[in-house]
Amino acid sequence: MNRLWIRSLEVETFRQYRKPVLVNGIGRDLTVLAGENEIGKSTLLAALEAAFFERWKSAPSIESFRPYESEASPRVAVSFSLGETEYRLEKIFSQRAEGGMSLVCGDGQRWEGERAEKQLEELLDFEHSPKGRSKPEHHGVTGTLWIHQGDAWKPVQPNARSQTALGQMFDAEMTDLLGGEHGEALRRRVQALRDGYLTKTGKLRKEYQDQVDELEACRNERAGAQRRLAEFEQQVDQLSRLRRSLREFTKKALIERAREKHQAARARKSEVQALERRAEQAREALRSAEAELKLGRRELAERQELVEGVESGRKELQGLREQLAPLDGEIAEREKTLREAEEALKAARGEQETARKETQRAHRAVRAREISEKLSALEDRHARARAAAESRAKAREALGKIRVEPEGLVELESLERDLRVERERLKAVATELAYEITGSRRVSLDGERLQGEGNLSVTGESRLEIDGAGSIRIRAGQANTGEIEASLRSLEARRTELLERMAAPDAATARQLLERRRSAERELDHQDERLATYAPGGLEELEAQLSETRAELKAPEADGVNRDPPPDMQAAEEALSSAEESVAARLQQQEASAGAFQDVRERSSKLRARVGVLDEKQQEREAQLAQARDAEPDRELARRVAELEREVDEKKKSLATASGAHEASAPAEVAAEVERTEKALQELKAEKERLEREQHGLERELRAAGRDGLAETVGDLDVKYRHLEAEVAQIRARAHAVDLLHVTLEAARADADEAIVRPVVERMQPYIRQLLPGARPVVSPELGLTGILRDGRKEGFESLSIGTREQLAVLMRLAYADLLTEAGVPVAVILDDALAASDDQRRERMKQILFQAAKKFQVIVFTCHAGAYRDTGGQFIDLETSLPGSTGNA
Amino acid sequence: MLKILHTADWQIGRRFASFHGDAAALLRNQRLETVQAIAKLATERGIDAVLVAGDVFEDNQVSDETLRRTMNALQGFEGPWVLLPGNHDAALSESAWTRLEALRAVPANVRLALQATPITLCEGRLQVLPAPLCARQEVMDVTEWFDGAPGGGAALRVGLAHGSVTETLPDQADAHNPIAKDRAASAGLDYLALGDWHGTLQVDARTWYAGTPEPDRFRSKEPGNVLIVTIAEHGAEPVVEPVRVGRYRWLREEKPVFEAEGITALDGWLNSLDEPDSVILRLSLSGELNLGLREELETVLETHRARLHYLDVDDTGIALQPSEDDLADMRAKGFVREAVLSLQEIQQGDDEGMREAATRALRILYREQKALRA
Repeated sequence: MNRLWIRSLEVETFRQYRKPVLVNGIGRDLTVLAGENEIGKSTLLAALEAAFFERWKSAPSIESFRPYESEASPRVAVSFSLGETEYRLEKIFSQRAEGGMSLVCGDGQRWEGERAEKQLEELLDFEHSPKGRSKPEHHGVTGTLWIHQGDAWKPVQPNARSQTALGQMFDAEMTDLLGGEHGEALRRRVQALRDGYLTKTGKLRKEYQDQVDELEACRNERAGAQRRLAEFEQQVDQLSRLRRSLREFTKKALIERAREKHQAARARKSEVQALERRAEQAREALRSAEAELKLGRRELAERQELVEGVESGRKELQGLREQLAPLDGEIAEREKTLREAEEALKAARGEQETARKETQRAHRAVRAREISEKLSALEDRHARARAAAESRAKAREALGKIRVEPEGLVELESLERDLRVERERLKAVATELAYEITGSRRVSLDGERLQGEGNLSVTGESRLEIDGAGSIRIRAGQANTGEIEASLRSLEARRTELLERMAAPDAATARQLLERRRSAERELDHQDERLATYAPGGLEELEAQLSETRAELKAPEADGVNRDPPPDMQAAEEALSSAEESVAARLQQQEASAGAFQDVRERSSKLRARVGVLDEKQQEREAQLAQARDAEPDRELARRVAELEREVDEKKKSLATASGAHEASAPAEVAAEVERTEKALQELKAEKERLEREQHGLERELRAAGRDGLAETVGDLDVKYRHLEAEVAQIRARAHAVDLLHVTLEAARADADEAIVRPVVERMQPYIRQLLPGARPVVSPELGLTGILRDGRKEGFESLSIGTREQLAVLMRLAYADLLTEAGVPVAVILDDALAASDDQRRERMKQILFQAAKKFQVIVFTCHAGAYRDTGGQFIDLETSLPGSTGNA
Repeated sequence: MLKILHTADWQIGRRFASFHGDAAALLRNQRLETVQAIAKLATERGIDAVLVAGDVFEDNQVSDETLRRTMNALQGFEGPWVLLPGNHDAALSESAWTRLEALRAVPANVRLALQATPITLCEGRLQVLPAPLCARQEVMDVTEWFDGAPGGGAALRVGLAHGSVTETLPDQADAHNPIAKDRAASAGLDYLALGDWHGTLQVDARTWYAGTPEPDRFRSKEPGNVLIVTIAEHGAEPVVEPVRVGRYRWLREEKPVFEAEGITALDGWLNSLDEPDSVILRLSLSGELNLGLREELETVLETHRARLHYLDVDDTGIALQPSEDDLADMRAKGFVREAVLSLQEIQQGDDEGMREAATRALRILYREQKALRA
């Protein structure tokens, strides 16, 4: 048993670890290394990888491992065992003298430097990178099984070395199974061969399909030529038949015999025709005799008719004349009756006229009375209306004279009031002069003589002149006297103007005038109303009506009928009615009499006319008869007709004899025989001509067609067809074979692929069953996990959730590790937070799986979820406590 | 004494559809060349008359050119020729014969026996009674009239007919156009020259089938001859000498091929054939070979294909059995080996098409593997 057990790890001046740290006590089976983020779990994994796989002299490695801004040399030491043997591996990454590597075995063996590197490569089956930093492909199997943080969900694809290693593990013949490069090259060649013949869908490629089409075209062409050849041969046979038929014509003298028969029939027909002609002549003679007889009989009948006509005409004339004799008396009698009826009618009409005039007069009298009544009413209304119109005119005239308006009176009264006020004011300022003229001297004030005694008020400036004494100028009162006087004058002027306009001497008169005006206006209204009542359409209309009525009344009086008193209306009308009835009765009598008179006159004239005509006719007939008898007396005529009748009888007998002979000769049968034999002869001739025509036609046609050598054409086409057929068969057979080879090879290759991956699938199956019951892994021939089969459906790795992907990736590593372990290869599986995206349930299952797997090989789990991984059942190392001062110890 | 050359069944214008390429054209032309050879032979042997017992043409509908060329081929013999219509070129209302006449292509020394009337030749020394076929198939014996034909005195009385002598020919013979087997006797003929049967065949002392002068099929027996018939006088038994004039030999062979020794033996036999360019060979092979030997066989056959006039090989009887050596030779490992085994399994199956395809597939695989290795 070559089990790998990484026991402890020491790190110093390595990235974030500046001071030495030691992870000790890593278990043989499952170990969980738990620590918070940033504590350096990934650095520890990097240190492990560095210890095993990196060259200590590699400058990029040294640079990568040194703590930040430090020149110190990184150091890593790992204790591990392989089976029962323990090893200690130590590396100091430096190109300086201190750099180096040592591998010390528990049995005391020790390797240094490059020898140590070689020894390690052999122990763990990997190889160092020839130059620079090592890459995963240099890590061999081990590298495949160490999963870095954040890489777990990526597709699992073992590197070439591990593929080989894995392959070697479970089947040494794997390369044989795949056929190697040679097998692949063969597949490519066969594929190319197949593609050369067939399209992707398995149809023949165009160039080959063209040959198949050509074969088909050739088949059709050959069939066409064969058909033509068959037709040709049929025509040859037809020609033989034609010739045979024509030979028959000659051999049996068909036409000649038919012609003889026809001629015999025609001779018989001539005989029949002669008989027929004889019968026809007899018939003609009879027809002519009958016509003669018919004529004689008609003449005889006409003679008898004439004799009878003369006799009956005579009798008729006599009868008519007897009828005519009494008619003249009847005419005179009827005329007299008619004259009497006419007289009576005339009298009745005179009476009717008188009655009518009386009735008219009665009507007019009634009408005159009505008009006269209407006229007196109109005259009354007219008188009243005229009176109203006159009163109205008077009122209007009075109104026209008064010029006082109510507004003017109001203004006048206002002026009066103002004048009184102004006068009072003047009086108040005026200078009172009391005079007493005693002398004769003339005393005048402002030109006005003062006499006696009196008082005067002087306003303004006045001059008192005393004759011979001179004059005294008086100036009254206060200074505004002038103003008052002016106002007074103005007011007075306006009053005067107003009064003049009103044509009133003073205000009192003006008031009286206004009162009179109002009274006149009321009168006017009153008369308007009266006028409207009596003459609603106006006086003129009323007057027109009046004169019209008067004219109406005057009219009947003009005819002077009204000299007698008017008759009673009812009596007049009754008299008229009776007169009218009488006229009607007389008229009827007169018409009847006129009709009877006319009737008898007409009868008489008609009879007379007829007698005239008959008489003329009778004379003619008698002359005709006499003439006929002159030409052939009645007895001669009768004798001739009897002779003709005998002749007709004889001719009838002759005809019967001739017709009998003709009918006995069977004319219809003879005619039919002629027709039949003629037709037969014509048909035979036509048939022979037709056959000859057809024969010549066919001969020409066949001779022309024969030249082409149809049989050889068919033969050539047959050669071509068979050749093409063989070629197409070759193509099909080869295409079939190539296709079969291709399909068989591909199927074998698919089987091989399946065989190769079977061990991996078998190892993975128990793990998957626990994690995803019912699912199967799908593994590529390169041993990568490409997906899973679930419910018969493939789900590609990329299509799965991140959580499922990382879980499956871990399971795949476990399967590899199983295989390697079984083959005795030392492996350890290291997972750096590889199940970060797993839910609780899946994590629980994974913990169980990891625990089981760790019984077969070492499993180390780095995690930041200490709580979740405390119960894995394996070793649990809390890095927080086991690395005192390790974090942040820079 | 008269010397008659009896021949028949030239079938000029015949095509050989089962032959590819030039071989068919050469076979077609050879028939005319053989007629020329007959004319030459007749002249050389001082023949008095040449009688052709039917089927001069393959078909009545051969081209005018073929008709003319045939007449030209007769030029080598200036004596009389009698050409009889057979079932292939029956004297129909329109036929090769009517066209020949219409073309005015018949030489003066050539008689077309289109009617059943005696033809007198050789200054009255020879009376030929022809029985031309006037239909492709006659039900009645057209030679019957020979019996009642008036005698020609001392002239030789020779019948010329085309058909099947009743109760005499092998089963495969045509049952149409019957000819009574005792016709020579019943009609008092000195000789009855027959055509239709393609091999030379004697019916009785006076009755012979000449056979076709140029073989045209594999199954005929004794083809390729004409008969020179010498008759001393009327009533004397004729002396009949078959003379070979045909060029091609139609051979049918069945050969087993097992192992390398079988191939060597086949090669030896093929090399032993005389005048290989006149040989038309149908070879049916059977046996079992591995892939390598199968390729070797192919090489041998290709060599002889070039030597012989025509080589037709039916190799469906050869079972292809890939050996361990083949597989090693092919480096058939892994899935390729599996594919070979699958194809072998198909070879054992019931489906003939698939069996053939699998055999071909194996051969292709073998060649591809070899090519890859090379």
